[in-house]
Amino acid sequence: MTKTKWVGTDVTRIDAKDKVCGTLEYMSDLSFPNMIYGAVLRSKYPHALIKKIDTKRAKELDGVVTVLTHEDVPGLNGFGIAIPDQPVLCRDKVRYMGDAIALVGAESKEIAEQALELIEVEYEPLPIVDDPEEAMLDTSPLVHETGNIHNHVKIERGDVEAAFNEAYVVVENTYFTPRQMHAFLEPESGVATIDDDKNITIWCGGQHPYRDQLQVARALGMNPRKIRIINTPAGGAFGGKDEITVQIYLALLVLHTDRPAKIVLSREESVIAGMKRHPMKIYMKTAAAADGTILANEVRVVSDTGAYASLGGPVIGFAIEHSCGAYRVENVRLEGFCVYTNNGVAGAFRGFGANQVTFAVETQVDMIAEKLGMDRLEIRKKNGLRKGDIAALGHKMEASVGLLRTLEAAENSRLWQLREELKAKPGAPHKKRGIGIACSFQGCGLGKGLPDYGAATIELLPNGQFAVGVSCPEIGQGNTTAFVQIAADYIRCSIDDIVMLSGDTGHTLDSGTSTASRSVYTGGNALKLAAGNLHSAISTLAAEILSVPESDIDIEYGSAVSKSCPEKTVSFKKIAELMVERGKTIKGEGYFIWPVSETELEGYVGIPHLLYSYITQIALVEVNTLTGETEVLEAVSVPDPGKAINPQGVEGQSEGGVVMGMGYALTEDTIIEEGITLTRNFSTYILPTSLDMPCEIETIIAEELEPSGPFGAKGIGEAVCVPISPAITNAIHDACGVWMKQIPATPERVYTALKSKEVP
Amino acid sequence: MKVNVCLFGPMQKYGDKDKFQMEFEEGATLANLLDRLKIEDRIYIVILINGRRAYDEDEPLSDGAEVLIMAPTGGG
Repeated sequence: MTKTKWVGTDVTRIDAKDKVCGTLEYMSDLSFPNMIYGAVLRSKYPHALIKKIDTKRAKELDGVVTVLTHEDVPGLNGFGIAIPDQPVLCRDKVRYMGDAIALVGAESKEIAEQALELIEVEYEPLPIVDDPEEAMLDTSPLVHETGNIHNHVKIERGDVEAAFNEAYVVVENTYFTPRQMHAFLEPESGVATIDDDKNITIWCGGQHPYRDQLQVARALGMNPRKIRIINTPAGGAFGGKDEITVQIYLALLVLHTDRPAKIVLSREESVIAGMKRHPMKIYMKTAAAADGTILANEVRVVSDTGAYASLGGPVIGFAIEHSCGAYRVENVRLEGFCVYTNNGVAGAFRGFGANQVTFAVETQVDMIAEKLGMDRLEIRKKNGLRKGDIAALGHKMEASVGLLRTLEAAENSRLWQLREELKAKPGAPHKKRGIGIACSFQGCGLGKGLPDYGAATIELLPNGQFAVGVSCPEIGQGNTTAFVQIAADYIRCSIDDIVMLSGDTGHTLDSGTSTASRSVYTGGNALKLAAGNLHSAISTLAAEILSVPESDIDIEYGSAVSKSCPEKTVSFKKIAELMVERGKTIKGEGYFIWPVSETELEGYVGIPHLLYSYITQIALVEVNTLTGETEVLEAVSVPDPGKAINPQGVEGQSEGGVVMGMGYALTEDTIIEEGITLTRNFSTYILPTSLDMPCEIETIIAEELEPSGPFGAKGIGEAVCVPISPAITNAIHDACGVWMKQIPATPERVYTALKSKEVP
Repeated sequence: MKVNVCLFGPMQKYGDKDKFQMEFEEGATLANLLDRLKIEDRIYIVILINGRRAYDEDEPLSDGAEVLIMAPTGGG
């Protein structure tokens, strides 16, 4: 492995100071002279025909600059990453309460909101369907004319019936998971401008500027090159800004008014209109031999994608891929449905379908261990995937597999070693303590079926510094700091000499998304190629300065050196000076395409994956048996990110992931009844706060280097929030003997389960 | 010159096969290739030429070039 100066060391985030001091300008902080404020009219019903839209009174209100409807969308009146089934502005039908019908631009936010009340919409309410299983019936109201089943995945391998017949133990359960909210601190928001040539610039937190550019261009019927998108910085995203949010509305406002425009959604509007994690109902039947070998797994998942598809199709595929956990299972029958309803839209969310099925399968594994009287960690080690194994979809684990390393490190952790001692000391007689463990894997990259590509640029600046461009946006995960470290070690310069450019179609090439735990691997590999090309250009000038052949040039940290005569050196700064004198530029570009699994599943795109990150997590909980309340006292998180580019960054991801997974396990659910969102703000949607944090989260980084990764790195942004949820629910069982089959494990649910258990 | 074309996902409808070769005269551009394939919707499309994203239709083709045509996507 190449010797590094920056990679593998704790480096303070490049955006830390501005974020901590509050001086960083997010998109919602930006303003321009003569700017108008936009507001969106949302639907009054979860399912209805639109008979008439009258904007006359709104247009007459003083201070209103424009009121736009579907008639004002010049291109395709639809958006959606996979299929454009969501109208920009609805014409004849609304399918959920977040549907947009009209767009107002006004001199102030207050006037814009006042104008919304003056828009008259005549509806004809339709019967709604809010249960995905009901939506699958032929008798159900249709959300879309194409049918309510958006995607169906079915994979069978081995002889499932024979495996169940020969099994020593079979566990069969149905699990329910909630509609978790991304709850980014900055709601969907942005600003836009337009110049005299009708070039549009949009500042809006997002996760793939080049795809946003294409979606905006499609809706406007414009050449994408006339639209510049800037996604960095985003005030949090977690997948919830992967899809279009307000970009098209901003573009429409500036196009129709020739004035800058700004839209900031309120938290309530963000909750109603924005993406969520897919709620899933998961039936799972798992068979094991007497020695704990998992023999078969039968899974049926029904996923509620709400009114529009967004990435619901790929999410169900990903869920099915991960539904047998990080285990060898030779006999599988796996089926998943992604279904339209009149509920809020679900889409990409950190974990991308793995969270739901991991909760189920990790509970199943604990149940099997209990029935067999087997240690919970041992059963995971026994069945855990190793390199060369065949995974559930029949694909070979060809890349690095660090699961065993994470399980062994977890086994040696203080929390696991002292578990009996720690459990024996509850805080009060009516409180009981338990320890839970769970592990998982997480596919990195977009999977098989579509080329997953990314580019990077490095340019020598006149002052001897380097401009490094990777367009995967900084959404809070710290990828820009990782890129600075990776670039500095590939270029061989100081991190202080890197000027980082991120998430801007105007200044970076297309590096793909900041999703799928892919940005560090993609951007890092592209930077490696870019640095190689940069070195070639540097060597040409250095050879001339040092009067040696180009083949004699070696690149060291900060300078070019003659291999044959090491005292002959020239600094990057000197080379930059000569570059300026000659009127030249020195720039390296790198283009990278992901390797993919050799296994092809006919008819499916996005599965299986080649690279996975691995993780084991442990939770110590205390359950109040009088109230059902669960407190997470301590947690251990053992991720395998490949090479940890910035260990401090991995630790930050790990701690944030643990708390996000804790909220998923214990408190968070966006409750929608008959299409109406009831939990519209953080007063009723219960997020963990600083007071709910475990008093200690120990992160142990278990690196299993990935040869194809930059310095051995994979990705870790998602896995960190996945197995902690079943670790917590398994800990509840360890504490008081009840299995939680529905999350969040609220005090009411735990209390009810405890009471049911008491009944003989 | 001969150009190798590969269609992915929804773009596969524009070819009888997913992978095929096309022949062009010198000086041909990406626009000529898209015309020949009768791809009308050219906004929501991603094209890689020899692994590099092609941003404009007037990008020139070269002999032996690998042209990958796909719809934008996402995933996890």
